[in-house]
Amino acid sequence: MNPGAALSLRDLRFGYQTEGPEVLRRLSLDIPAGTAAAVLGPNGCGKTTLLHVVLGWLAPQAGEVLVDGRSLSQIPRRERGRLMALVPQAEHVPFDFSVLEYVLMGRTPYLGVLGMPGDEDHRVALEILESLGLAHLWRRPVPELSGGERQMVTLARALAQQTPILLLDEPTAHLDLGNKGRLLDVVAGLAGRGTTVLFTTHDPETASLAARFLVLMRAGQILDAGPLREVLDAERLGATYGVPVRVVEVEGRPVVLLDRGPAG
Amino acid sequence: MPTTRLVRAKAGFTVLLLITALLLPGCGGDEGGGPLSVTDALGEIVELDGPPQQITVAGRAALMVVDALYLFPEGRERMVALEMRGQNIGDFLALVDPAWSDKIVLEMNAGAEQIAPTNPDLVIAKTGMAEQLGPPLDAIGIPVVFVDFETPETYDRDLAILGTVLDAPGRAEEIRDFYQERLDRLAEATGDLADAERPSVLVIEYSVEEGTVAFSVPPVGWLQTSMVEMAGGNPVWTEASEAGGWTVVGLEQIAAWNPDQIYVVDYDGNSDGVAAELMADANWQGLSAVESGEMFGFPGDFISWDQPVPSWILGLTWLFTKVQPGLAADVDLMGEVHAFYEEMYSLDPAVIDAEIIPRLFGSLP
Amino acid sequence: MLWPLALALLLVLVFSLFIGRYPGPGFTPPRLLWEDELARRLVFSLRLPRLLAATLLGMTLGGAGTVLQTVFRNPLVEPGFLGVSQGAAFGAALAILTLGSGSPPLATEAIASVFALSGLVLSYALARRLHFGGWVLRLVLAGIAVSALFSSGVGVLKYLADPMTQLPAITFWLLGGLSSLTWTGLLYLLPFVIPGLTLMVLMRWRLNLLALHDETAFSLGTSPGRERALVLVGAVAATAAVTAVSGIVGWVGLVVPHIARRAYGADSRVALPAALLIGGIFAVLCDDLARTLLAGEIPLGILTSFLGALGFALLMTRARLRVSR
Repeated sequence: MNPGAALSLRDLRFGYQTEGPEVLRRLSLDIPAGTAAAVLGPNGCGKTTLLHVVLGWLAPQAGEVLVDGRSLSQIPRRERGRLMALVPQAEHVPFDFSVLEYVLMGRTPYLGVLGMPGDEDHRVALEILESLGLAHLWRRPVPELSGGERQMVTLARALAQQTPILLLDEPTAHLDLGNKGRLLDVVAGLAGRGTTVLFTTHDPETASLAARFLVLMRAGQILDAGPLREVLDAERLGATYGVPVRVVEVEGRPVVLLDRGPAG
Repeated sequence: MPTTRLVRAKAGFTVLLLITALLLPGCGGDEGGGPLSVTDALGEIVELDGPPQQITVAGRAALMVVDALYLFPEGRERMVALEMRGQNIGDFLALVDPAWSDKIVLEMNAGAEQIAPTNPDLVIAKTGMAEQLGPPLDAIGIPVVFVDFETPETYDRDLAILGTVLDAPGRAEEIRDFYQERLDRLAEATGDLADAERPSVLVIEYSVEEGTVAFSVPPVGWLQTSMVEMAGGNPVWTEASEAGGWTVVGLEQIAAWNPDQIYVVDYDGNSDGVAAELMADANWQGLSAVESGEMFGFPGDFISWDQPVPSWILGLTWLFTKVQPGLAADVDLMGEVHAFYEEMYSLDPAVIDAEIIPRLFGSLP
Repeated sequence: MLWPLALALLLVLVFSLFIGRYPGPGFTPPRLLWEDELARRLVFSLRLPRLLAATLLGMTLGGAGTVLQTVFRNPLVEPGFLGVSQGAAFGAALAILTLGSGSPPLATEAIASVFALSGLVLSYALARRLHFGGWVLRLVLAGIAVSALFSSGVGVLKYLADPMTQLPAITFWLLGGLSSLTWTGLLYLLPFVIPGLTLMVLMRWRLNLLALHDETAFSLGTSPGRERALVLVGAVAATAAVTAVSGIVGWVGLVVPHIARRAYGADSRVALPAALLIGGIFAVLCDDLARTLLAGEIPLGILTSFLGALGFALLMTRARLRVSR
């Protein structure tokens, strides 16, 4: 795996229409290389938009995204594919691509415009499937997979891009407990090996399981950012979600609970 | 006593006068004819109060019906409105009728609402329009007579219908005799011909575009097929034609039939030009009709003579001279053309020479 | 993997060369080619170009159908979807009406092509101005609107046409047929079809990517908008040319991609070339029937619709069939 790259956002402003409401308002953020960072916030606060701006898919009206100090707009498209990979939230493709074909798509940044995957690319793809324990599914049509398997396969495709930065949009949103745990283990493992991971979630537990760095977002603004241990407290979370919460420590891990007032 | 009988006679005479005076208004408007009853082409009996004085011709192919109606002087006078689609017949009819421009022209696809303002006593239309025009006209109380005018048989029948409607049986008889005379002559000449004496004939419609090799043949039930048979030929294309309209056939099929003679119909008035082009076309060499030069353009004047308009009889006559030249040796085609226009449309020979003869096209002598 | 299919196409072509209506309906004995000059001329100047044109027609429609279904993520899409076929129909009807016979060579086809491409451009331009829904939906809506526009235009032209001469020509053309094709006609097809087919084949792997959501395709380093436009233009230009020559031939573009995907998998690397070959075979066989079954020509569009719809129904009710992998 490549050593991670640092991500910085400087004064980002973004709205879907030039005259319309701003979805992201003057965001600044610094994520160190090789960190797993979670963007936590309520639904509709602009997390996915933020991810798309970081990806370069949406162009901000003001401000810039910096990767290792370089402005994203200066980086040519081809290189970007080798720099950042995206695992989208829920992908529905109405065709029966096999798992292997699906993962091979991740090799695109290493092929010419009219190129097609070769033996080397097949090898990489199969290796990645192995590492995720999915090798036995390689010829199954993707639509026939369960939700959890599909999410893992999408992750495999992103991994096939072999990028120093990995972006995930609500990776555990539709997963049951078992799959959630498995996926987050992989994500944590990646960060451990040096990839910079940025993922969005509305679930505090997901953030605490996989991230070292936490960003709290609300209504298009960053309320707080920093090491997870410091930022994950009841007051700040309460401000983010607009409901009273309690944070308790269970076996060394912070657990977030909704505060229902005195018991009874 | 003698005075009483005289008085009675006078009284009786007065009563008779009174009754006649009462009845006369009832016959008002007639030119002597009483109520009419006519059976139209669909077998419907149409009751009219008297010979209609204002006639409107409507529906698809109305002009062809008008063309037939104009064989009668009464038809020309009494027609007030028509639906016009297609220019050529209109030009011809303007020649025949000085009052042509006074006729009301209906929009295409005129319905009962558009027909009613022309105040017709009778509407005449082709049988194909029966479903569309019949019920609405019925609903507003306008009588309608449907005619066919598609084949020689229906021509004969429908001319009689027009004769009844126009109260001009004498003229109808004249016209029918004109046609019948020629048909009889033809039947006499070709009726007994053995199969071997009948050349195989193909009639195709074809418009030239570079490199195109598809043509259409007419349906079996249409005029062209009967014309070929009556003229003493054998139509080869009967297996190909489905009902309804022209059917496309490929050159391969034509080569398989390999007819003795080919007649090219062109509705743009250039049939002999097209025939000549085909004869010169490389793809057509090897067909016997091309090698023997037996490829002809079907003639016409304002309109091709293969169409179901009155001039079809000229087309038939011409066809006879080509299909059975030996038997038709004494036929004077130009004389026939003159006779037709003089007797059928009362056109002056000078007018015929000036306006019609220059318009002739096709493989004519 | 596709060699058996290519071989099948070749066999079908050779076989079709020997069926027709001459000297009688059905099989033409090969020895006639030596003996009969007319037979020779018919086979080489008439049947051969027509068969090749049918092959190109089937390939183009099969390929364009695959491209459209993949790019729009919609397995129920046809080339006649963005106003292309309807635009071509309108252009041809207009040409027949205004120019009549004796028009300059292939003017009808040229005008039809112009209108077919304008249908695509209009759909695209309209889609960009819509404010409702995502891009794919907008394009679909715009395509429907433009198609309807051209269809009603055809209706108006038919209404105005002279029922004796022009209307039958328009009606027959709309039903679709190759009956009037010669070498010249085939030659006029090539400048559009060859580049279009080549482009589709070269981009066949990229097509897979275009089936993904835009952000994902973008994250993989593609320009989804540009690449989509490129492959679409190639597909539609080829379709327009073929439609202009043969009229509207439906269902091939819908059914053939499904057959190809079922037999060879969804990966366009294989499915696209397979669709080309299957489309070619299907079109040639339909055209064989069109010119041989009856003495008169059966419009090709009727046969492809009938067989295509039947095939589609059968396909959808049976279990999956996989030929390889």
